[in-house]
Amino acid sequence: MKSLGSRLTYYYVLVVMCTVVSTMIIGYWLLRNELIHGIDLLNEAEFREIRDRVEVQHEPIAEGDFLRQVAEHAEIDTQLYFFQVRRNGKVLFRSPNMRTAVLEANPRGDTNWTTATSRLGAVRVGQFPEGEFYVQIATSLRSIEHFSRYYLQAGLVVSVVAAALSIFFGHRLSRMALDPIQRIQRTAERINVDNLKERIPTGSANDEITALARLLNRMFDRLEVSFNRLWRFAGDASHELKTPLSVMRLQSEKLLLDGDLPANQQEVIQQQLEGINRLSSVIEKLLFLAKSDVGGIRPNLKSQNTAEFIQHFREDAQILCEDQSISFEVTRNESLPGMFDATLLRQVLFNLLTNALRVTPAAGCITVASWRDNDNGCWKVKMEDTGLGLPPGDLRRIFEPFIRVSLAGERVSHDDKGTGLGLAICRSVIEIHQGNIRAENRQPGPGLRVSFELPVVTKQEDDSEELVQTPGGEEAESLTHGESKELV
Amino acid sequence: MRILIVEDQPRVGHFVERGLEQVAYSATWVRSCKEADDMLARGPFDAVILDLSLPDGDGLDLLREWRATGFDQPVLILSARDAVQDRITGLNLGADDYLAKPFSFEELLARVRSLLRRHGGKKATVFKHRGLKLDLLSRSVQRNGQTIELTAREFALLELFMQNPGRVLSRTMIAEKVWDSYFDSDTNLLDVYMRRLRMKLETSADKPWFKTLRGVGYQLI
Repeated sequence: MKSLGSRLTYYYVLVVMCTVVSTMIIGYWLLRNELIHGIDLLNEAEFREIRDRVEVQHEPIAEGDFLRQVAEHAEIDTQLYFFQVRRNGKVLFRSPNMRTAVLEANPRGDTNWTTATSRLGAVRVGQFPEGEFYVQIATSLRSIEHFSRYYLQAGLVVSVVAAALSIFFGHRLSRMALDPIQRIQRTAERINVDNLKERIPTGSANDEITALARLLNRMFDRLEVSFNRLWRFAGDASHELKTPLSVMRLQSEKLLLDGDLPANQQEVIQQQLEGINRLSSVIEKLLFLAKSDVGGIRPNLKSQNTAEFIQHFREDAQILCEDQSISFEVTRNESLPGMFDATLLRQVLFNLLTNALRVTPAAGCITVASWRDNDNGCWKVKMEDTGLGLPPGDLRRIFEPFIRVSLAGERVSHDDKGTGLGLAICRSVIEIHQGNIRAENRQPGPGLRVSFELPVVTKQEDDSEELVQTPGGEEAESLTHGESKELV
Repeated sequence: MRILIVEDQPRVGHFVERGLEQVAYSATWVRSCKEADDMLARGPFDAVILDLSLPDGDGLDLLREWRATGFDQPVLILSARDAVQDRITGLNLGADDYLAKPFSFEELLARVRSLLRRHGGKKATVFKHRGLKLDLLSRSVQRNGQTIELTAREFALLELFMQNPGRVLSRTMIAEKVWDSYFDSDTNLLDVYMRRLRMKLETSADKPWFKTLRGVGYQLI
């Protein structure tokens, strides 16, 4: 019973069925009472007839006469009633149609009661005093039992029909009630960063759903205003920061390139230029983080192969590691077709590598593996170094912007290039791809392992070949080159 | 060669105009969408340098209009906005190149030259410089008749320098053209590659082939 619609239908059917069944039970009870009351009246009328017959005689009536009168009367109505006369608890007369059955005296002093004997079945008895006699008149309840059976059958049919109808109408009703909500849902799903202008259509109706839609629309209005404000702010901030930087850079560069500067002044200008580059890089990264936080970055998803992607990276990574006398290995590289933004993910790998290079000692080793996780079907990539790892408390924090945990065993002091944003950007890019990234200490250590998984692998290729350390990587190189050629 | 500069920031616009004129281009500088439209209507330009944030509109809209009306001269976008997103949008709308602020004038110049060269249809396949010969078709590099073995990446790097001999190429431009990366990765990958390229090209007796300009980039000399 997951959806509101099926729950509504269920409750509707429940209410209808409760109503139908209880109505029928009450109706049955009332009708039965009415019928029994009718029998009581008939019994009483019968007694009156006997009394009329007896009272024609003058009192006191002799026992024999009385019984004879009753017997005569019983003769007439033998089809319908049973008669019995008692006096002081002794049965004086029983009508012949009772055969061996005996009606008991009234158990609790009632005038009318229901009893059952094996001979007569269920009967309704009325006991009426006449002088010192008690006349007991009984009517069989067979007709009422007939009626009950019929009523029960009819009730069953009615219930089944009512159940079927209520399921049908309940379903229709819930659909009718939920339709506007589904329309709201569909529209709300379409409204996102790229499409903030759309609104839920609201008619002139004044019901609760329309009120909800209007409320949501007002919320979207506010959201749109905030988003636009953020956009404008990001644009303005970046414009305001970069324009003066442009002028500074153009002028410094001119000074430097025109020459004629003494060495010490050249040094100052060069430092300035490096500062400007660094600043603009930080601005660019902050903008990226700010936008990705509000879902404003759309990855340029393309269908491509993960093995080729890793192979391209391997080539540059090897050169970088070699430069620092660190070995670089791709231990596993499954060929998987996936949809991802290669430029953004390459940035992730480079940022991770930069981090790993900072902590890995000379003659250390950095390894990368890429494979498909069989549990969840995600593409997983991990990078491991042989540095000293991190204290457990810092493992999560390293993905936050500007957090610079003191990387144990860092052999390059924090140079001017690190901005403290590299790993934050990694996390952003991975989250843009709906994946997740985490860092842990290698077991057995020491060393740090950063791994990410992305739900981007479209399907497992049948001929999943492993590309591990093909020497030279000539194929990969020419592919990379072909890619860059398009842009040159 | 006539170049139209659409830039609302006076100091940047002025600087670019003067810089282009110094290298013998005829540059015209306008500050708004409207002026740019008027100027284009008046005469043919060989290339346009277009800033995106203009006082009376968005540069991207302007570009869309131009392309829709059949204007097919090369357009280089200059922007201080979101580099990644604007770059993609701009190139999709028909811009030929994109340069993010703050930019280096040398880089702007290199890009404009490359645009004009490409547009002019002069598709050179062989580049020569100081006895070095780079052949795009056979993908080979020879120096005084001797073949130099280069990896694909090194070749792409050298190709970029050979196309712009004597010009300073900024790190961002090199990264973008050779690695297709929008924002730098804080690595010294480029420096490592430059070192390798130097080692392959330079002999001890030789005059250096590349000049490093700290904070600016590299230059093939």
